[in-house]
Amino acid sequence: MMKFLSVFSVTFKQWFRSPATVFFSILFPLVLLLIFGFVFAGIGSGTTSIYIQNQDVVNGTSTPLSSAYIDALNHTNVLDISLIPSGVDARSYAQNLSSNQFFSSYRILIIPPGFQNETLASAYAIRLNTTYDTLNSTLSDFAQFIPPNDTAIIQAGLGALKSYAANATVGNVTLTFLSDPSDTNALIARGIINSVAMAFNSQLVGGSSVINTQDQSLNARSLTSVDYYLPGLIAAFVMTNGIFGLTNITADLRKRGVIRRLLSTPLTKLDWILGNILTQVVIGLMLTLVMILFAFLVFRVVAIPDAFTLLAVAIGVVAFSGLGMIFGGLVKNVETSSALANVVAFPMMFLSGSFFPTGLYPPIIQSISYFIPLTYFSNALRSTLITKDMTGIVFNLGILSVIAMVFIGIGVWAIRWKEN
Amino acid sequence: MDEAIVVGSLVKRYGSFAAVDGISFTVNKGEIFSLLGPNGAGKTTTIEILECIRSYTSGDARVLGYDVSKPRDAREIKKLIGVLPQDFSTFENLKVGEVVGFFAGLYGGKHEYDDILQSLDLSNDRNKKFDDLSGGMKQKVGIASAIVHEPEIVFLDEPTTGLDPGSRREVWKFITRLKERGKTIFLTTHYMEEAQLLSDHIGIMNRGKIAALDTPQRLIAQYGGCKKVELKLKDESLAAKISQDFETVRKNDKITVYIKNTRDLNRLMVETDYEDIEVMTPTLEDVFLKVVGINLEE
Ligand SMILES: Nc1ncnc2c1ncn2[C@@H]1O[C@H](COP(=O)(O)OP(=O)(O)OP(=O)(O)O)[C@@H](O)[C@H]1O
Ligand SMILES: [Mg+2]
Repeated sequence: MMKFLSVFSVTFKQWFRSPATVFFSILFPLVLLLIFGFVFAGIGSGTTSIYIQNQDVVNGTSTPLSSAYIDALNHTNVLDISLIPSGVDARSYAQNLSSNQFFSSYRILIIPPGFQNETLASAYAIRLNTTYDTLNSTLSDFAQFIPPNDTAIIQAGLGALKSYAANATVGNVTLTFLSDPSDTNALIARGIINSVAMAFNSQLVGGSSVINTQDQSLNARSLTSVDYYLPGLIAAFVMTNGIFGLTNITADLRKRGVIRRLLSTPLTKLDWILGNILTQVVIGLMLTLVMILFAFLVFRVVAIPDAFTLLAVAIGVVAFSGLGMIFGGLVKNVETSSALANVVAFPMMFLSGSFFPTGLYPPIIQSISYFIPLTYFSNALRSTLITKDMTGIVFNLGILSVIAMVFIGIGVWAIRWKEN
Repeated sequence: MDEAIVVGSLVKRYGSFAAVDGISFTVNKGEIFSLLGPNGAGKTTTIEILECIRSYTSGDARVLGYDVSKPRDAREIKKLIGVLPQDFSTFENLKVGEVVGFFAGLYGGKHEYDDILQSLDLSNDRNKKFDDLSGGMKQKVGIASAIVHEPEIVFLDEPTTGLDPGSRREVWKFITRLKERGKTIFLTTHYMEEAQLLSDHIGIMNRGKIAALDTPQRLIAQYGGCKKVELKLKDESLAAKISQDFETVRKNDKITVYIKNTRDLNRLMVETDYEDIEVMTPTLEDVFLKVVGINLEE
């Protein structure tokens, strides 16, 4: 057996057989999830600002259907809508108005020209086809109830319907939604845009999709608040387990002379770190799965973990264990390094938007969130668990991996593997 | 090469304080070497330098021909030594068998440890949690872990501190058997009896220096003389005169006199008015008392 696996085996047993530690690493997060779930249930996630550019303009006025769509979005009371004039470049317009020039912390919905015409044309075509099919099957299935004279008239009508239908084409209307992949508020906005589009679809054509958003990853279900912070809570607790886990365990073992005994064996510093990180990864995965299961049982949140979820947790654990090792290595005193870790960990939880969308914060704090490692971790988890959006997964995991490599590199260097 | 350990002018400073202050000694292969000294003498510091887990300030230390200060050599040394640190402690939630198995696993290959547990009387406790063991049992788990991979040199830092007399004797027997199997044993202790009974060579250490270094017999012969006589004098004023002729130590109302040969012994007994007399063979304790100037056993 490789040595780091021996280390994994003993450190995992050491953790698992200590009820207090298991409580704080797994049950405590569950309790918090429960509290969050009930406290914030129904409150929703506040308002989210969004720019809308309506390009469906005829003779200088918005078409009635596009206006109705914007109205419907407005009536959800979740979106704070600003309109962009139809002639300008939406992106640079929003960028100029945005309080933050560096990050695209804004969201834009573009309603394309011909939104009304094509929607109506498609609706017309679909209705024609539906009517034709209905009449046609009525005629063949219930011929005995229809007087022969009338049959001829209906058949003539069917012929006419068919020729209309041949000229009407069923098209698609695509709404374009622009957002930054790391933008947590975008998820909420997109959820609402999709739900309203679904409502329009069913009103106009009885269920067939005519209006689509360009990013279709979100299904009909809109986001609840538990959807929002389940990944955030998981991220926050995997982070605290990571930061404190390895460092506190090592510090405690060092204090009791356990590490000193290991120093005189062929075990290397790298074996020790690898084995411990593996333990933390397993703990992190257990925590993730338990939280997901719990969220489903209590709040009916359907978050289905996939390979990317596991990868995200593993990379997150590595990153934050690395951060913990940096604290533990640079500050020799256990209490001081714990305090330092606290000082760093708790603000991160709130500044990262793990618990609340950063859109609720003042702009300056919103831009701080881009410099917080936890932001990318919770966004990555949110992408893999809730929205399943590939861009978000790749973008956030990419950044998280770089952070992990930097932290673990410095951490390995900072950890002491000798007595003074 | 017959030397297992060679130390020359070794110094370890913490700031301006020298915990180890220029010591030199050699440990031969297959022998038991003891560092005997009071608290703070520098025993643990020395042993940890040899175990390659503590750096030192100057001098020279080699273990089995390898230089402890070179990381590459240290890696080789760590494969060949077994260590019982002072106050051994380990993962408290592991069972005894798991602890010993873990240490065995760190050296690669397969290592059986049933016999070791048996000979340390731990067989029945192998499924007990380390945390639930008594202090003495923990110490024995530490000893088992130190030798499970059949090391060439075994470092034992105060192996019997905290053990009851029965367990202490058991451990002594165990150490003797290790020696019989060809191991080199480096131990530290503040028990005179232990050092005298087990050691081939003893270094008496005090304040970072080795004050005396030899076999127990020669140390006793050199510092203890041939006999020691404990006298209770009728007339206290005689004490001064005796102290002029002999090496003496005052202890309450008694005076201990170290005698170089039997002729002197006769002279002392004939010429002195005493109330009570006891003639004894000197021990390491007497050596220690003279070399270090303090009595450890009190
Ligand atoms: N890390 C350290 N920093 C400063 N001083 C130290 C350090 N480690 C040990 N010392 C000092 O070095 C001296 C020797 O300590 P050492 O542990 O080697 O003694 P010892 O002979 O093993 O004593 P004991 O019998 O109590 O175990 C002591 O005065 C101790 O305070
Ligand atoms: Mg000591």
